[in-house]
Amino acid sequence: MATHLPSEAELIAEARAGGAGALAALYTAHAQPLFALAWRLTGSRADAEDVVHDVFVGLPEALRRYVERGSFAAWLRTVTARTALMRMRAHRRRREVDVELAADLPVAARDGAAAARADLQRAVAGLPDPLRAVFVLKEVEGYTHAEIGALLGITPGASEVRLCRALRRLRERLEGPR
Amino acid sequence: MTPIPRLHPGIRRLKRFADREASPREAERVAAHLERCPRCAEGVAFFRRVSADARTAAAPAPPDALLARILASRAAGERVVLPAGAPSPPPWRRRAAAAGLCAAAAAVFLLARGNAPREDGPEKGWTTGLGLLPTPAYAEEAPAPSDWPPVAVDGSRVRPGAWTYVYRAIERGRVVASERGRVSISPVRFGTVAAWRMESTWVGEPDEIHEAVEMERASLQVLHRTAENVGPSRYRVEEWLTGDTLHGTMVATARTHRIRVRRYEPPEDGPYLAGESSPLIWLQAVRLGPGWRARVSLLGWGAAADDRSYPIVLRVTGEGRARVAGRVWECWTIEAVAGGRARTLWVRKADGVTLLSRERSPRGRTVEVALAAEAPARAPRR
Repeated sequence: MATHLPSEAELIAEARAGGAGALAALYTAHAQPLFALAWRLTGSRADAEDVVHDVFVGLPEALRRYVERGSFAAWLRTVTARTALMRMRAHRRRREVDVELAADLPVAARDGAAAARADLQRAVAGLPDPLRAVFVLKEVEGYTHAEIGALLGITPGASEVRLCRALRRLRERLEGPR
Repeated sequence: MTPIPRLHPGIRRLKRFADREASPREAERVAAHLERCPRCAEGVAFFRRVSADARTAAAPAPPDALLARILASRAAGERVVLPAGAPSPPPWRRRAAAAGLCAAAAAVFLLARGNAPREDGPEKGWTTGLGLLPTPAYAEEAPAPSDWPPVAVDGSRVRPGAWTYVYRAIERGRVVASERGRVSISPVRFGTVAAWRMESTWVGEPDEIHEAVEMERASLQVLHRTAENVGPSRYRVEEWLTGDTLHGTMVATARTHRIRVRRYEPPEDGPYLAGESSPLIWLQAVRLGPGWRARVSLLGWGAAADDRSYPIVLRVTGEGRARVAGRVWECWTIEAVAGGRARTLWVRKADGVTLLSRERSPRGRTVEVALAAEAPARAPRR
């Protein structure tokens, strides 16, 4: 007998009604990239865990306001980004990043490319929050400057300037002063 | 041999070219420049390498126990109000939209904006700064009991002075962040009104926050507040209360954005405190004791729809001792709850000065703000 696998729309409807099984299924499908996003933004595994926890605890009620227009994954990603950004503003925990990054980042850097990526991640984690947020949203998540501006409450031009400042600092960190 | 050019495209132009976001004309000019300029070509190569590495870099996976924790939280009745999935337009765009309305309608809009819950946004806002109170980021607030008696506030109990606090974040027994703040209270005249001025400075990395609040001397009603953030994000906010309406401006000094602050503050949500250092003055002015409790609201900036005042419930939970600069003081312990976050305050029985504020997160992080020095040294008053 064929087993019916619920579609994402069915899972959303069920989770909206409070179904724990559907919520778990949505978590399984989406938690990994959302956790990565929250970790990159906050620079902390513990904060990322709290952000993803809060996103999924609040999801059934939030889904009642969700209008099925565009990608659900993109909507969830924006909710997570905003949740993480609000947490960063509220906690103002710039220095914790420096302490945590050593433990959080992948250790195994066996080849040159992997080592370069690990160096970059350390350098990104060392950026001030406002610069790191723009860098992650633009370079990793692919948001436009207009979208980043709306997320952060700044103009698209300010987002572009912050990105360039972040890149300048990263280059100094990775390649030395120029 | 072609000489290396002396004029170079700016970093924004090079980045747009690297991302293939430049207009065709701009792209053509930058490409021509890159053919002759190894320095800029290296820059573009760096931007592209960083973009590729950033997208492919590994990230940790969520812990296996997280799903169980989420389901347990749901089963226990925990709820969180999430921010909107679609970003709201920035404040200046909302202002521009409002400007298209007629004057009367615009006035109504500005008055209502701060109070009407957004269709898909959080009803409770957030605030920033390192202070003595919990700072809810986005959690839903349970409604406080409405039949609580009003709290008697007597501003004559307040004593001027200066206090230095140390903020520390502690994880696994290690201090992972430490910052300092200084708060002073002095009697002033605000226009013709006798007032207290509370000034506070928090020096953090990368920001510094300077704040000054004037309060009516007897009732501690907020009259006026300025706050300035110095750092990568630079802004200055000025607010004042006229009747039940909060007015003011918020200016982003780096970019000359000027946002009007205006919001109705319901009297039933008062009394209003301004600034997260406000327990230092406010708890001096009330008579604490077993069973004491109060519901107050902390004024937000009101410069954006979700930047709202939020309620805080305070209650005496017991007695304890706190050590400050080698001296042990008898204290009331007070639980301060806002937006699902709770802090414990140790408040000196002798004069109502807050000696310690501590918050433990479920993840094991402890945040505490502890008094490190005071001038003049306190003398027992009660």
